[in-house]
This record gives sequence, structure tokens and C-alpha cells, in this order.
Amino acid sequence: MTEWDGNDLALLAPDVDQDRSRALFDRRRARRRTRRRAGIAVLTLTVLAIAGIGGYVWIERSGTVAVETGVAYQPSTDDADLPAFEVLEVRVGAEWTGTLRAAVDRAGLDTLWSESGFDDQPPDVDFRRWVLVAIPISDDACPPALAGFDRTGATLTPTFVEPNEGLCVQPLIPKTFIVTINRSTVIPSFTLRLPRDRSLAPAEQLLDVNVSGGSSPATTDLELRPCVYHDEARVCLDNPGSGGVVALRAIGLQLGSNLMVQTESDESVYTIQDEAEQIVAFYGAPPTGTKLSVIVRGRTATGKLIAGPLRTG
Amino acid sequence: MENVATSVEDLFDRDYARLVKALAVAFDAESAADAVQEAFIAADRRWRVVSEYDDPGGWVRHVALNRLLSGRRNSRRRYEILATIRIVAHEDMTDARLDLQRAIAALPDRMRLTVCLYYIADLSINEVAASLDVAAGTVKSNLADARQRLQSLLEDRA
Repeated sequence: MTEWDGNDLALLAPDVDQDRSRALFDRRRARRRTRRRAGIAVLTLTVLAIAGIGGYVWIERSGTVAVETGVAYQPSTDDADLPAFEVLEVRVGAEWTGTLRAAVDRAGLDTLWSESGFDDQPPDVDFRRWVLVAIPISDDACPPALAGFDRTGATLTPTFVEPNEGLCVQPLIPKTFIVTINRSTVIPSFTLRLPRDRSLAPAEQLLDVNVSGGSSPATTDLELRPCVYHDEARVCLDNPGSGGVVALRAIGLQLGSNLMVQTESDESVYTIQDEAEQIVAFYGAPPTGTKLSVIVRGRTATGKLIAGPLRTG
Repeated sequence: MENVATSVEDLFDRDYARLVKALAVAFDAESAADAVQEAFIAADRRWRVVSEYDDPGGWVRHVALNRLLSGRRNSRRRYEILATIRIVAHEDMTDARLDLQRAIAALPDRMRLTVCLYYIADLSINEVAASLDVAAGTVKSNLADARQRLQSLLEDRA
């Protein structure tokens, strides 16, 4: 061939099966819409759950439980399992590694920041109360928002919700969500899971994060701040029968908080007096590994929670 | 482009194949089909907005090109994508086609894209310019340069 003819270029092009292409397009649209509806449903349920707990339980200073109007605390509902979190920022423009990362202390954060290719200063995070995770998504021009985390056992899966149609006008830039998760809701360890998704993640990633080490302070002089979901925290005692010590700060509590404790095994409710310096919390001989849900309401508490016999409320 | 698409389905039926063909020659068939599929999915997602644009097809081309040029690909759908295209069989590749393929591949990326969008996707000068974010004059000069280079390359191989 010696003569250049633009029409010859078409000879190099592949055959495109229009019917199959259209079928694939239709399938993908249907899948996307299904996911979208599911996302909206999750968001709606979350909002309803938050609204439902508007009628709340509080513990009076006497240690008794009073119920205000509306739905009281539901000890075994899913929302009690949801981790409290805060999206610090959504970073764009940095070199995208696509790797899930987590930091449970300052040194870990420095490493995370460096490995993620961020060249500015990392945020100031109080690792006594938070752990930080970096969740990368390969965005598809419709930037989603982090609606929350689904919890299955100790595995947390972020839930992303896409904005309404008409807002999706962003360029195709991968993003990294920098998120802090309340430490008390994920101790002693959790697995962060980023599922494979058409537009967000090319492959599933699992990241095991050990939260139990090296963060709890020895003193309790934190400013009171509701740092857990609906003022609830969950603490797991490794060996309840033999007792143990859990720093209040490790579960997001503060000197002077009132506590109500409910066992997961039989849902018995115990109240804890707030005057003592240490809260003594025996609970008879529950099965080893019994988990305790600790509900915080009020402003006063002591410095430590020590496993021991609880008094029934 | 000639007629105005009233729905994303119309736009798909009108533009999909020729855009895939053009980008397949400029890049590779699988990446091209993946990128164009993604672009149409994105268009579907925000069709209420995109449909208000003067040229929704131009928006789709833009998104597809962005994806191609960023090198992103969804390997999860690879087999689904591959099932929609049939690359020119080896036995169908005559010497002349091979020469042309090599000559096209030797062009700089932007010039190759310009040529493919113009000749294969059958876009106008202005549409190519809008797709590549360049002036119409740049497209014209790129096309002229490309013709000259291709002619020269093909003569060398002859």
C-alpha cells in the first residue's frame, strides 16, 4: 500500500456487536439502578433509625433508668452495632495507590500519610478516641458520599451512596476518603473490607486492624463529647468471669459519665453508680466472652471500668 | 453529528459502535469498548443534565477519552466486554493492512486520535476539536500532518 486513504482506516477497526453491546449496557444500567435503590434504602433506614431513637433513655443520677416518650433503647438492634465515624476529608489529586490503610497511632498515621503519597501534614487525630482509615475509590465521575459502615461480626464495610442524578458532573478523579472511626466501637480489632465494585474498587480488599494496643491513656481528663453512636459504646472483656480493667477513655467515656450495662447473653440490664472513682462491675459468672454494651447518658462518671460483680438495676 | 438523540438509548444506538471502532484503532479494542461503555453508563446516570447539553454525544466522547487517557480499565467486566467485539482476525490482516496499522501506531497519540475520530467515527472538525479540547485549527493541522506522515511511512514500507 502506498497511497494513504482515510477510508482504509475502517479496515483496522474491530467488528462491534451492537446487540450484545446494547444488552450489556442495559444489564449494567439495571444493576446500577438496583444498587442505587439499595443505597437509598440503607440511607432511609439509617435516618429512620436515628429519628426513632429520638425518644430516648437516660439514666438519672440516682442510677435508675427513666424512659422518655418514643422508642427506648433497643439493646440488640443493628444500629447499636454501627461504628461511629467522621469523614475528615476526601482527598483528590494525590497519586492514587488504591490501597486500604489504617492507623491506630501517630506513628502509623505518619506512615499511612507517606505511603499514600500525601505531601502535606497529616490531620491532628486524637488516637485515644479514634482510629483513622484511608479508603480509596476509583471514582467514576459521580462522586459518592460515605453513608456509613455495615458491620458483619468484626468486619466493617463502608457504604457509599451516590448523589442524585444531576449532581454527577465531576471529572474522573480517584479519591481517598480519610475517615476516623470511634475506637470504642471497634475494639479490640476489626477488619476493614472494601468490596469489589464496578466503579469504586477494582478488587476486594481486606485490612485487619488491631485497635487494642498502645492508645489508651492512663488518666481521664478528656472533655466530654458524644463520640459514640447515639451515646453508646461497646466494650468486649476478654475474660469476664475473671474480671479486668477497661479504661473509660478506651470506650469513649469520660470522668463523670453515667453508665448502664446490658449483657448480650440474656439482655439483663445493670446500672452503675457514678460516685465511685472506679466503677466495679462484677457480673456473676456469665459465659466467657460475653459482650457488654455500655450506654452513656449524662455528664459524670469515674475513671475506670473494672470488671467485677454487677448489681442488677 | 446529524440528528439529535432524545434518549440515552438513541444516543447509544447512534454513536456507540463508531466511537468504539475509532478508539479501538487509536488504542485497543478492549479498552475502547470498556471506556465507551463506562461513558454511556455515566451519561445514563445523569441524563437529565447531559441531555440539556448542546451535544450530549460530545460529553460521552469526552468521558470516554478521559477514561482511556487515564489508563483506567475495569478488569471485572473484561469477558463481558470482549464478547461484544471481534477484532480483525490475523488471517484477514493483509500486508497492506499491517502496513497501515504500523503507520497509524507510529503517530503521536493526539494525532492518532484525531485521525481516528475524524475518519472512523466520522466526526466533523469541530466535533473532534471539542472532544480533544483543542481548537479547530489544531485539528486541521494535525490531520494535514498525519496525512503527510502516513503517506511517507507507507511509501517507506512499500
